[in-house]
Amino acid sequence: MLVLQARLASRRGEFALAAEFTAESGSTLVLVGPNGSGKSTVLRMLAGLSRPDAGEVRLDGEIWGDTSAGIWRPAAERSVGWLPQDLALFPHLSAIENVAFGLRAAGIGSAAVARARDALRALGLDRELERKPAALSGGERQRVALARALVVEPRLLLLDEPLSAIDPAARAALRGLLKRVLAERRVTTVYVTHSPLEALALGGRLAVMHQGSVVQEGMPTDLLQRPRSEAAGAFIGTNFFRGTLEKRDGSGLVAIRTPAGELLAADPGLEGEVFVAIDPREIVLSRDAPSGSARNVFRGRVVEIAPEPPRGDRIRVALATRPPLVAEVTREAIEALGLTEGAEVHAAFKATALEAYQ
Amino acid sequence: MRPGPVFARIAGGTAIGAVAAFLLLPLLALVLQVRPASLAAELAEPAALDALRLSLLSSAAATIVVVVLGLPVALLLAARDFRGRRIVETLVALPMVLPPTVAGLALLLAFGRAGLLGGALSLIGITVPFTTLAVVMAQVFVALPFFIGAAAAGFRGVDRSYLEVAATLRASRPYTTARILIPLTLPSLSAGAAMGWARALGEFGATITFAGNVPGVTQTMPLAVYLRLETDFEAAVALALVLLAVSFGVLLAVGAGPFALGRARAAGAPR
Repeated sequence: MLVLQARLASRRGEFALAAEFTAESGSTLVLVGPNGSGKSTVLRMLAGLSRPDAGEVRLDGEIWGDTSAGIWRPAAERSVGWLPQDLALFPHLSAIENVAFGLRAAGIGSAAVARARDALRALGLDRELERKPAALSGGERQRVALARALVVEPRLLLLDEPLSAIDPAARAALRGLLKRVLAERRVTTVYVTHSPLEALALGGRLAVMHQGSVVQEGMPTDLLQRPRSEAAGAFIGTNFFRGTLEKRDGSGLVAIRTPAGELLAADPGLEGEVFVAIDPREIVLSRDAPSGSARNVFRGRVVEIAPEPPRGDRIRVALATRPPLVAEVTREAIEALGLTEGAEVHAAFKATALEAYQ
Repeated sequence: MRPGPVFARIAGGTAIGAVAAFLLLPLLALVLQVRPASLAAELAEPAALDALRLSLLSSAAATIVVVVLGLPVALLLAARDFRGRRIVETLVALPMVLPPTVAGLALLLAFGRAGLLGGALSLIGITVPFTTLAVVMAQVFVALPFFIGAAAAGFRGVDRSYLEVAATLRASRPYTTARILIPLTLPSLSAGAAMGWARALGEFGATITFAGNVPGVTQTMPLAVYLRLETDFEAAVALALVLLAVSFGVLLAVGAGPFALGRARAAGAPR
């Protein structure tokens, strides 16, 4: 079976890791979650640099680790390319010698420099290869580290926040390069990031981590529309509730009762417990009671008004309604309504804006 | 300097002045005592030149042995935790605090004619005491901890992620040690070697106890200085000045002074 399978459990003081996920061979799995959710620890265990209390790692059927059988191969006996967050470029070696290191270690003497140069050129670096890392720009350092990891042709590539040290202006270009390289090389990759924006921009399968566990795995669109946990909902910034489907009255609408209030939805044809997601952009705010066709109307105070990065022309408005909602509106709308924190507003959305699923 | 109460400033200034005077005054006295004519005459003396040559050669040999033997021990001490590690560290540091004459006596009891290994060594025709070999052995014994301490601290200061990346690139431990660990620790290693060398050059007590005082064979500079004190005071002072100048020059050249005072920074220290 051509997949990466991982099941990792460990406990360090208060922090418990219990993560399980798979990735298809040759694809990129984006491990995304807030800082401290255990993403880097997972990478270290995949790399063979740390050992879980219990767990299993298999790549394409080959056992890299199986604690129940007492197996946990060290890094040198796996085949991984690991980019730690700080890159750890060898400071005393030139860019080209950093890349050639793994080849020389494998006994490839004379061809090492030529292959290292090719690897760097493939990432768009062909000048000043004799420079030490300290004399390179952030983006150049990133390319050198990536070339160093790729040149030994690892079977598993592990990237830990590869764009976090890059200034925002250069980030998009480097992300594009990464996407292209990962697609071309078809090397199985686990890509760690804390940024939902970056995770979505990569376009691959996502696994959302929260407090040491993978809370949801899936494609970006699925995750965006149908989060399956409070953590996943909060992470992508959507309104997420758990509820129970109630009475059908033949009008095509159903009531969903959540612990914090009742919502009206288009009949999803389901029974019992459901998840509910409401896109914050579907929620309309007004000072007076709305007169339109929206079936869900709630009244409450504005708790917080927060501009959305990167441009701040979209504003997120957190409301103390029942249930609590977050709306995303334009700056113009805020100004037109004269909204301030503490103001009373009505939040309205259509029954069809509400996604109910199991 | 931050402005502070006048009293604190005066107290601080006085302490600094006292330390400076205490360290520099004896050196100054030594320098002032030397007459250029006697310095030149003494340096032309074959016995003095023999002592100088023996000192430089034996301390150089001892430094090489110290580095070769000390590197693996320092790597072991820096690399991992093992049972009895504190005991090993304490044993390694012991020669630093042991009175050198006690060290010399212990060496004599181990390698001397009547010592633990003396019988076995004489069977294969080796006599250690009162030879130049004994001089080097005494110097190695007292100099090792200086090098091992500095090297282990240097190795421990290297950011672990360099070694981890090397492991993911499937480099063997010896390869990583040779190409990453040692190059990144070079400042600590050279400073440690220089301090060990300086300690070997100044070795007196263990040498005279274990190796004796045979001119041209075991009479190093410190021994020559001490013995001339009784016969030719001016010559002793001249030799002392030469020893002082050589030590100062080497420590300055490799920057071991700042290191000994904890100001050095390893190239691979965590950022």
